[in-house]
Amino acid sequence: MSYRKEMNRLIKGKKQYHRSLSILPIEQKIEIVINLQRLAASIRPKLRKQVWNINR
Amino acid sequence: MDKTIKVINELKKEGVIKDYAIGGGIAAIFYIEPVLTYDLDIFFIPANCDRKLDILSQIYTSLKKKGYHFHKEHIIIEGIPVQFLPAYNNLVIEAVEKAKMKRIKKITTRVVTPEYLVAIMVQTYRPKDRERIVKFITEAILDKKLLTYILHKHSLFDTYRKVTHI
Repeated sequence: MSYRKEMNRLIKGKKQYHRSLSILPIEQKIEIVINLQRLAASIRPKLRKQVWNINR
Repeated sequence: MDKTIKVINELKKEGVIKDYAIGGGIAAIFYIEPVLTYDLDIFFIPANCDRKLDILSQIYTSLKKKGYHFHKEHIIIEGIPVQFLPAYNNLVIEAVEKAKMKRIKKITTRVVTPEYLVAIMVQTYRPKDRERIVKFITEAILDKKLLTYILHKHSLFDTYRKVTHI
């Protein structure tokens, strides 16, 4: 497969992946946001902002 | 999150605010993939439009009575930092008025529609807004006619074209 075709395939796959995340139920998306906050806090503790403290 | 929304709905019931809609990053995740965000932005229309200087004090007093505390510009409601932003111009007022009902668990709330979110992002035009506009174009289901109408109405179409290179 040519380089161009391979890149197009990868970009198409990436777009599909982002779209599949965008159609998740909102409750699941909120879980992901909280996980992203935890991840950000673990990577850059000095710049850490408050991770949501909610009882789910 | 639903508990936080419940408290905000109570503010509307009590007449502290006339109307509200979720905006910012949390509104965005209703339409696109989840993004890193820390606060819940609430655009609101105040109940008493004539008391412009203390629009926020009524909200703060009411929430303080309920036992919620402040952290910088946020009020921590049920573990989530909430920022109350009075609808500061015609575009945001319109966005709040035209917001759609959405459900989080069993609680209903109002969320700014994707077309108005894009228009607000074009107006604020920070680097993260420009990034999100591109995400909205590729991921969200947008009513292009409505978006074009809103952008023209608020003289934002040229700025929008800069981001999208139409």
